[in-house]
Amino acid sequence: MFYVKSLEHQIVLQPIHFGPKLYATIKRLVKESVEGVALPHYGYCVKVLGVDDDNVKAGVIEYDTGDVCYTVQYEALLFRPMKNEVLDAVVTDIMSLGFYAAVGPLKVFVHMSKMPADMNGEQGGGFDGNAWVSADEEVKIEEKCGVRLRILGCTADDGQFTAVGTMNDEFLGMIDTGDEVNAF
Amino acid sequence: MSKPSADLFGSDSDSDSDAPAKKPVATSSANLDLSSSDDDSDAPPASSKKRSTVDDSDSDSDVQSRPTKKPKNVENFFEAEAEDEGSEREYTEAERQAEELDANALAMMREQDRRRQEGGSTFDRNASVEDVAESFVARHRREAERKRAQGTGISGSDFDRSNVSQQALMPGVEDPKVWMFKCKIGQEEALVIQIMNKALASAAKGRPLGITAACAGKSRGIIYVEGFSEPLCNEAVAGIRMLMIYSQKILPINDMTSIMEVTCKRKPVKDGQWVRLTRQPFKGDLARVERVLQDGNRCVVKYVPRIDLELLRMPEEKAKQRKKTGPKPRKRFYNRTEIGDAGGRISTGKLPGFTESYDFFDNQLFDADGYCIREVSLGTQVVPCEEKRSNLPTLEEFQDFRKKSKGEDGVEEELEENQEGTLIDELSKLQQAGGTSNEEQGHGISLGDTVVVVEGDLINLKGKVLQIDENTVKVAPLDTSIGISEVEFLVGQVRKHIEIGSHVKVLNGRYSGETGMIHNIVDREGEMIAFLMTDMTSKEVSVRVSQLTVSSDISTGQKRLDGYELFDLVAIAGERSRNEVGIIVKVGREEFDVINQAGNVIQISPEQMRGKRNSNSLRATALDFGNLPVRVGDSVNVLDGEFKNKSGTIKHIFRAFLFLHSQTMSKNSGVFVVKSTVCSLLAGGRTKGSEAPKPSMGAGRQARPNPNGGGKMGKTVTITKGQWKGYMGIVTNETEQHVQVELHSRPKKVFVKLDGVKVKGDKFGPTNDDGQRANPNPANQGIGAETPYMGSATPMGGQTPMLGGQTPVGGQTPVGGNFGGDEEEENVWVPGSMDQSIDSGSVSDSSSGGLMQTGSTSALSTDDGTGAEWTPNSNFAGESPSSAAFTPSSVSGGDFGMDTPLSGISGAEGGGVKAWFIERVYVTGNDGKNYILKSVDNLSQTAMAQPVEGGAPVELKPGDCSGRLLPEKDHNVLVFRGPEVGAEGRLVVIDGNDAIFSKPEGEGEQDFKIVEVSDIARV
Repeated sequence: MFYVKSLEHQIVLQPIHFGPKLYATIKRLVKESVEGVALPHYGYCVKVLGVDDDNVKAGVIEYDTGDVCYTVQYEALLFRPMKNEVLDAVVTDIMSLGFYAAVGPLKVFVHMSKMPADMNGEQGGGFDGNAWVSADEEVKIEEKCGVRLRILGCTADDGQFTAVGTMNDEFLGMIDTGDEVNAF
Repeated sequence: MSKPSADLFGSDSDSDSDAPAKKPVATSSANLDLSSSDDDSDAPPASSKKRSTVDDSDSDSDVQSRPTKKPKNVENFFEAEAEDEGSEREYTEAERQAEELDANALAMMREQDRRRQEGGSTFDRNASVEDVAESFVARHRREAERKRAQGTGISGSDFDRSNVSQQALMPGVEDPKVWMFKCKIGQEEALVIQIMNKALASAAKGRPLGITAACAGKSRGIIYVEGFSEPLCNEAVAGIRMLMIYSQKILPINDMTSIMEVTCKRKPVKDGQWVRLTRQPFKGDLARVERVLQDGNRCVVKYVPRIDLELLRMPEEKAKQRKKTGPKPRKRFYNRTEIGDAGGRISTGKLPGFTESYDFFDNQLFDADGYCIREVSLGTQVVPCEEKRSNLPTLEEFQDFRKKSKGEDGVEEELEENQEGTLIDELSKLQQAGGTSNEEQGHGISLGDTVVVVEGDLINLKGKVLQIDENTVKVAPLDTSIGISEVEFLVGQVRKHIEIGSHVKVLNGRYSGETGMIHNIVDREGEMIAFLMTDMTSKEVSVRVSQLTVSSDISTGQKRLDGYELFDLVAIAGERSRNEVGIIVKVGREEFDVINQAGNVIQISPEQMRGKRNSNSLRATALDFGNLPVRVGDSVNVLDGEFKNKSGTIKHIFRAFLFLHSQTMSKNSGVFVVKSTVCSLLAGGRTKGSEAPKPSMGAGRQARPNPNGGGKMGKTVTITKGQWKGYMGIVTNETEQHVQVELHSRPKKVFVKLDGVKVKGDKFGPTNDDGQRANPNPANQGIGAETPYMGSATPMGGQTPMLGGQTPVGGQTPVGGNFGGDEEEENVWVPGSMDQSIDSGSVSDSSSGGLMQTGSTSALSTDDGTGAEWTPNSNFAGESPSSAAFTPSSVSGGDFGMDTPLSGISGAEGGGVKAWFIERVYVTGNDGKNYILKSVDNLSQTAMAQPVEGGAPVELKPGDCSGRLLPEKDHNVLVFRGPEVGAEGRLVVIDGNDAIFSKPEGEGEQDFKIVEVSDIARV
């Protein structure tokens, strides 16, 4: 889910930055340190939409170092995978246990038990080394193809979200063979 | 030694760095005492006293409290000053304010300390100048690193800190020494208390004892006294009775920590308990206690023997040799007839003190079932399995233990099957037991866990555990809307709850310590079983939910065997394989799985290894495809071969072989081997946790060549400007604007501006004498000016058999000449430039794409889908599919090839080549028909063309075309040269020499572009 939220961030600046460009530096640093990072609870920060000069609070000088710590409020566009959310993803890695698909920065793992029964070997089909193929060989999930998934759960750690998804539901499954992409 | 114990005793043994720091404290507190003597309030003197004592005890590096020490003193000083000047009333006011401020300031300082700790910078006043300097260097290095890896947001300093800091706590020569004294057994604690009393008494007298600590460790009849000097120590113990002063001995530094080592009490074993043998050749084997002997320190165990029948057939000398150095015999049950056949002599024997008689062979006793029976002492010869979680027996071991030797009849086998069930029961009992002994409850529930109610009215209620008693748990429901803040349940009524997708750690059982992500949870007869994908090996394991805890740890696989660890680089012994190394990908019970540099997995035992080569690997650098040095910890992309398009982190380097690790590969713990020359460095590659590049790489760390700087590292250049004009040398280092050149003719390294050098060649030999190629100044150059492009173009020379193959590359200059006069050279369209704007780190990648198009002679040109490296599926996150459409590979290729000044390969046939000879362009053939160029082959300069009117495609050469089809209004056009090269759009109008076309929305700020008609072609 994408949403916009106002968040806070602390920037520690060395005195060298104090000058006419102070605010510009703070804003730049906020962008640099926050954009593209997975914030726990909030999700991936896709973009910092804006930092108001008014929202930069007066800094606090740190003892011993002389650095100044600014608390900055900023508006961010966030991407947070929600449980039971249905997302379109691009398959990135095929493994014998399932496959990984990417939704932008988010990696989703789909285990073989979460694939339709005619694909995970229960009723034919299965893993052929490079792809997951259905029993009738109509559906072939390989790298770069598009799939629609439902998120079963996700965790945030180490600056990254990882999720587990399922393809075992109505309207879920392969939606794009990825041939157009493969052509290039 | 435990530092806090030193607080008890005043110490006069400050190192000299501390001494000056203490002086102002003394004066300021004295001031305070004087000024407040007429005041009733006792608080300031009291507090100041406390502070001064804190200060005293602080002398031996208590890191925690140090940072707060200084400011306090300063405040004291100000307080004192204020008192001196102000009147009484003002003083109390000021004091109150000061105290308030104090509290606030302290809170703030704590906060700042915490942040600095997190940030990894400790700014310690008492650190020596060298240390501070070191920390500055480290800090700036970190910053530089962060700048390089911008956007990834992860720095790798954590790893380093945690490992090293533990070492730093070990006592060294600067720390106080420890003397040990013998005393009467049982009196140790009383003696230590006596010494403490003495210390307090003499401190009160103002003459503190000169020792820092006294303690009694685990050893009986010995106490330890810690101090800086021997006489002071002697003085401290003088007059203490029951202490044998003559037995004084100094403790070696290395042994100091072992005083404080905690050994857990050995639990007595019971009959039927599982133990592990510790002596060779049975080390690690499972055994069962048959009988515990009287004192509980010895027991009789039963285990599967390891009999080497080969020995019986050998001459005595050889047998002795084999017994010493030969392989460990296989586990096999004793079989009387087998041994008799082999010529072994069997007699009958008894265990001392028992009546049962056993078969006696080779100094061992065997029972009728084929097990070996032996009396052993607990702790030295066997250890109980429960002592360590990792020691718990596995199902396979149980099976091995129970399995009958071959040749038994069918009845026996049936029995075995029945046993299977009991085996699993036993296993689960054991694992459960392991759990209960260490957890508060058998359900693995601990404080803060999320639980779900499984029976009663409130079934399916989820909540957090607040409190655990004997057999009840207090739970705070997660759903606050029900209006109950806490509910109490019986332990059996709740069950641990973990969501699918959580990252968990296994607490106990056979997979103890593993971490991974739950991808499925199933209910198996009331037992919730979670399926994990493990982080390390990407394999699937099933574990009970009660054995899990939510954790973000990533197990580094603490598996070791004989000093070798997972992912160690080891040298492999053997006559045939002199220079064979491998990386450990699996640690087994007795042997390792190792991938050697050829990529083969071999199983070898620790004896077959000749030590680790990790440090060599850390120091090593290899050159990637673009001749950029790569090191351990870097992320690279594989361009060719079996692992094409995979990316991984370099675990180890051996010569030109990279051992890469990829999280997404399940085989061999994700490790694979490639040649460094088929990899390209991903600058700012996202590295995680332990894989993060280690900041301390010793001599190997030097300024990284700037990816945009042209990749001149290691190339031979001549200097064309300045003092060193005319000299030749090798580039040893480079920055954005300068290169460091080691001169051939003089033992000297000089710094030269980038535009003051001319590339003459690289380590593969001289390159084409074409100054323009090396000139990185974009202002006066066209396409060739894109330095990354240049950078990787050169290695091509190395890979091609013919140096002539490079000429097409070098020859681009005239193309540049076309644009030379234009102002907006940034817009020059280069195959790689798209990537650059998105991710500067992808330089080598993008350039390799470009390279393959032009340099068709490249060894790597097997890759015909040249776009592959920069299609959206490669690792550059921001790239959208649309950009792929933007850069149909051969467009650029054709562009380059055609306008070259005809040397080398393309020169032969390049005569009639036109810049518009590009895929998708409409052309008019010599036969008057119009064609659309479909696929352009750069090598042969031919294209498959589809007639517009329809019909079969034909093959066209540039010479077969009379020209491009002039576009008309509303046609789609492509700009093939000029500043807007690469742009596409719909033609709006042609006005004289200018064509106005609209760019598709979202491509730029301007919707309309004006270019020369001669620069556009219909597509």
